Amino acid sequence: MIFRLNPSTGLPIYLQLMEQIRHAIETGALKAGDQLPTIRKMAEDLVMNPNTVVRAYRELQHEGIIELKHGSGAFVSESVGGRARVTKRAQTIVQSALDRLADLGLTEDEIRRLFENELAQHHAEKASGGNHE
Amino acid sequence: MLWYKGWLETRLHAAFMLGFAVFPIPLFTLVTPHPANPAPQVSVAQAESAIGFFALYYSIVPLFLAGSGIKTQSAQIRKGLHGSMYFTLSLPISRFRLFATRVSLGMLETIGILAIAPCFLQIVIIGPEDHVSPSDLFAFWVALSVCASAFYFLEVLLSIFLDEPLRHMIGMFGIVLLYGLLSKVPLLAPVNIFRAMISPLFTHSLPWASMGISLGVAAVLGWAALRVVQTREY
Amino acid sequence: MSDWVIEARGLRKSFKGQPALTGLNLEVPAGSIFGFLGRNGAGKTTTIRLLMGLLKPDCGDARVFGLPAGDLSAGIEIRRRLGFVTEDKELYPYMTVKQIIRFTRSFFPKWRAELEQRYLKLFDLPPNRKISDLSKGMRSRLMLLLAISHGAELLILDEPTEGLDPVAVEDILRQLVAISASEGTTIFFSSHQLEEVEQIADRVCIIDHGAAVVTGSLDDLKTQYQRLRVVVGEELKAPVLWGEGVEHVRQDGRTVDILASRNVEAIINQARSLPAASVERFPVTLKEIFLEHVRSN
Repeated sequence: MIFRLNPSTGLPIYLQLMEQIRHAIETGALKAGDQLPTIRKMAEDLVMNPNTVVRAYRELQHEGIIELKHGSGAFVSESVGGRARVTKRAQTIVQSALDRLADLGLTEDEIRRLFENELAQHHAEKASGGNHE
Repeated sequence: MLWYKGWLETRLHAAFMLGFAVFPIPLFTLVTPHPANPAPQVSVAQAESAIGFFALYYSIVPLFLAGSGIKTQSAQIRKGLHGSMYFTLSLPISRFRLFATRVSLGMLETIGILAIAPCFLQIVIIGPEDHVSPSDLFAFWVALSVCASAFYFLEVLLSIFLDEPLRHMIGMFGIVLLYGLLSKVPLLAPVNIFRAMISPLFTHSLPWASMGISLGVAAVLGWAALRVVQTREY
Repeated sequence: MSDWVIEARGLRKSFKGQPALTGLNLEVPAGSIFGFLGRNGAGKTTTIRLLMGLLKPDCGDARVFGLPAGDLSAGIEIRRRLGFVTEDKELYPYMTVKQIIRFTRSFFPKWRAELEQRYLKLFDLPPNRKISDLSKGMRSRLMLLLAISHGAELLILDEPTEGLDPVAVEDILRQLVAISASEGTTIFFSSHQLEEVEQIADRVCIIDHGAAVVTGSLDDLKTQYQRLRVVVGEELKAPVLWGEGVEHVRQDGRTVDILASRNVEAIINQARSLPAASVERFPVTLKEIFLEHVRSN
């Protein structure tokens, strides 16, 4: 399992590590049930702060992506297997949608506002139980 | 282990001073008249001053063996934390212990090396047919050591503020200056410490007054040095 | 009694009338790797000297392990529990590696022989070589070995990687995180190498002109600080009065560059209200935060 971090970008290291682990799961480098390196090993290999590793692991546990088993270590959740496949499909959908929107001449910000608007409406629809056209 | 460190630090100096102490012996093959049995043309006073010169010579020994335990890097503590002194100061040892160990070690080395002085007299100046009683030689050693302790602690105090070549030079200069003053100025004759050092050879007794004063001076200088070391900012 | 391994409140210190510390506050939690940053002359060395008991503050309070740092007898107890590595890594040149280990060991009853053995091998230090014949990189490792082997709960390091080649630097950093992970040792280090601090520190404090100007968790700082680039439709006639949280604004033509430390959403909204404005966000590096806070004085 090889991870790469760049401390000099502005992105906090724990977020970078989380991203890398999520990405590893999505691409199948880490499968459901696999054990993640111990905090100490991760810290030593990547030459990063062990408390930062702890934070990343905890956040991922909070998201349900990994499980911290007391005494034995960190493991990829069983439930992520299915998720990875779905995520891959979703990725393709979003990629093609973005291509088509860009062809229409929309800027990044406009696209972002569009999605946010639609998400908000979608959420509202689900909450009210109705369906709009 | 502080004694061990002190020994590693001072052993070269001690070896050099041992050489320094032994050095005159093969050099001075002339036999200077013995004070108790002077050759007719040499007065006791002249013999006294000749031997007094050697007291001056041996008074230099303590200068090179004195130290305060915390080696200053230079006359001023520089802005950064430079030098092995900061490693020493980061150890869980009181400054008193650092000071006391180093000062005691240097004193022991000094007293040991000064034992050569009476041997020198026995071999060179006295000559094979004359002899000074062993008790007089021992008394000479005691008087020399006690009186030299004043110089030792002066050097300890100097070592806190100045670096190696400079403080030795100042110490030596001071001693030579003192010697000159004391021998040339008749008013100061009673406090002539160098006379006091060699007096056992002539009076067959210890110069208690001078020894007392020397110890007093040594104690004051030593206490001052300790206080500086303890209260100083590093 | 608190959990701070190092705690300083309102520290003030002057030398010959020149102020070195002007009311420094510091809190270092146990188990953290704490980066202490500042320009030369900002007060880093004075602070370290105070914590080590080498000097006393003019006023204020400094505590290490809850004990007063300026007190002579407490100082000995403090030094029994901490390890110190100086900037120039000077040790006794006349001793060999083995001799200085023996020497140092004699002052620490809780010496951890297994750590000594491990690091002797790991650092590849030749036991019979004289210290005067060691390179600076090897002396760094030796000093670190001495500090770690006596089971120090706190390591105070003054510019630990200064003057070292990149391989030695990475090695030292790796050992520091390893010791933090395995022993829970608190590591307090001063450094000019911002990238290294960013790499291993979880908390930082930036000191300038004798006082702390930025302090906190590095992750939080990086999340809170944002750089915004606003491009406006036409050149602004009058300077905008930006809201709270804006640390620095630079305007060049139709581009406005903003460094914000908090309240970012409100600032973005304000930016969007400008004529035909587009706003982009960028993450901020520690170097930018540092330069921003020490330059303006």
